[in-house]
Amino acid sequence: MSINTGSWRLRIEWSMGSSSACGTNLPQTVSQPQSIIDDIFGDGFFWAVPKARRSLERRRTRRNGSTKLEHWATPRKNIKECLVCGHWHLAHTICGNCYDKVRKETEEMRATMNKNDRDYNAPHTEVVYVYQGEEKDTELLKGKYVVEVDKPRPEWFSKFLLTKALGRR
Amino acid sequence: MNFSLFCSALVVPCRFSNTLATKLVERHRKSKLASHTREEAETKDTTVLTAPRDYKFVYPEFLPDPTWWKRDRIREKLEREDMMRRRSVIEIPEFYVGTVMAVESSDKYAPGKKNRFVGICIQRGGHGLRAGFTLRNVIDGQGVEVQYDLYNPTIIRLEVLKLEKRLDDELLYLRDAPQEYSTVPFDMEPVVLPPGIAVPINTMKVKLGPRPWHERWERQELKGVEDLGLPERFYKRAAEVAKPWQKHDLMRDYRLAINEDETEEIMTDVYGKMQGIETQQKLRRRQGPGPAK
Amino acid sequence: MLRIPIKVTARKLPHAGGRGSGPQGRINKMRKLVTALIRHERIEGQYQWVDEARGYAERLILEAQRNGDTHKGTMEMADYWLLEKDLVHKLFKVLVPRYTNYPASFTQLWSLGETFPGRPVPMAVLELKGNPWPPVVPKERDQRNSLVNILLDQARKDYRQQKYESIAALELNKQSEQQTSNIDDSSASTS
Repeated sequence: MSINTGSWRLRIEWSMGSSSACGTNLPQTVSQPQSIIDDIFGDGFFWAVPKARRSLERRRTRRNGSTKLEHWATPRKNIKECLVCGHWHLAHTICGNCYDKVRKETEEMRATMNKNDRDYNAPHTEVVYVYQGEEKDTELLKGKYVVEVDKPRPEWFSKFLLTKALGRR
Repeated sequence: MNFSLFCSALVVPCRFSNTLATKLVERHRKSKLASHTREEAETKDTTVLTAPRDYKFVYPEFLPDPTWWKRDRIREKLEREDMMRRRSVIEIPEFYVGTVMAVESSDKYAPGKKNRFVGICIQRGGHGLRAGFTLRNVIDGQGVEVQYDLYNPTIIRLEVLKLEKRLDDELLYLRDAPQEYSTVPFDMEPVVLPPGIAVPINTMKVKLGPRPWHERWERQELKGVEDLGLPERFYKRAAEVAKPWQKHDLMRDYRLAINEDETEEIMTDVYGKMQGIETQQKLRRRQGPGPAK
Repeated sequence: MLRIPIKVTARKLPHAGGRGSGPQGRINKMRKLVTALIRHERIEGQYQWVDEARGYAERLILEAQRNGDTHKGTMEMADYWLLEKDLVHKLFKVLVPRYTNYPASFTQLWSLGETFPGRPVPMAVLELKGNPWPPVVPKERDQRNSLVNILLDQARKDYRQQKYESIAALELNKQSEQQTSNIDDSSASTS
């Protein structure tokens, strides 16, 4: 193998193990005129192999990628504090802690509804949840599907969701 | 300087001088400060015109290309006005795929410098000023198709000889059918429909000739074709490559078409302008054919 | 016209209906999500899937609203998109009246972000507006009485007071100057 040939192709040649591939057999090929390709490879054939060596720079970039390193190294500035509970969350997301509370409450509410109506025969009217100690014979609830929840309404869950809250100042 | 006055002008960045951001135009259109909205608000109560619901099928070329990166509201509007100007000069009748039509166009090399072609409309497409249609006929035992641009200024006269629809949106399969299906005599008399009648639908089914064909017709859901009589493997393969999920893909439909609100807006605009043009045309017809210009 | 921002091209979501399920699997997943949304009015899922399903749900409600339950094509669509058929009634009898004369979008999407530690997949909550559940984002607190706000209010008041006083002083000065000049003029004219 000469110095100039630093390619993978030659290495594969050696690994073929065919005797005719060696440089020492060159005079024989001259005396027996054959196709050069047949002479070199014999019965062997190429797998899909890289054609050129990956340089040091490329290898390092691939493994540690400048963008990745940059991403890991830079401090995140899009982290916010929840104004209600004080937990941290990303700027474009909602607070996970607050949402956990909501999810738990939702599941409890869902469990109180009649299972058949909830999962198989959806009522043909709006569903209204009435907590403990709240009126259920009012004009507003007439003709609606009323579900009673056996506990008082949580403090953070306002009954008047349509009225506008007082904003931050 | 009053800032609100400044806002009412549509500021166009120089970098995109030949295009306008859709958002920007929308904002200007809806702005209460813009002059046109003020005029609209004043005159709105007097003229309320709403286009009939099937208007978009009668004049489909007024709907712009729905490809999102090809859209430009101002260009579309200008094009619509150009189309109207052309329609005020030449009568472009209502026609559909399957209608028998005659087209008279100017031809430098023809005797009398005019050329007349009669045929069945097998395809109709394009948007705006680039809208067009294809006529097919058989001349001396040879199938001939001519593509026309609807708003080409060399067209002298467009005439509908027999107004009807077919079961399919395109009749390209007539190329593979026997010639009698696409043969129309050149001296055909126009068929007059009674007024106020809906456009009749021709439910004729075409019997295609033997393979090879121009396209794999068994893979298209054609309604106006008789049973193709192919071996089982063709239908099997057709079922394999079919895309049945596209039929109910609501968002695909939405992205591939101009949405209903916009269609209504455009068609109302077109309807208002067409009223004036139609009255002009009626007057001209009563006066009788003048010298050709 | 939809009232939500949509991507100009649809997401392919190759794994939505399981690996190798292709576009049919994607649309099946979308059907499941739309059905679940109409049933429960609030669902959680991968952001990409849920965001894609949002368009379908919006479009379905819009079509139902526009064409009503006597339109054949719309009924066919409702039948296809709602896997559980009792929801067809809900769509036309509950949701359509709920959203009549509704100027905004019918659904709301909240981003939950990725769970850490865990699978780094962004999740989201999709809900129908006007649902009976507690609000996802709690009501904003009344912070008028917080110490900072009270101090700021007072500072603002003081600043305004100062400004008024200075203006008043200026006016007084001007008036006195005018009076003196008038007196001078009158004395000059009399002399």
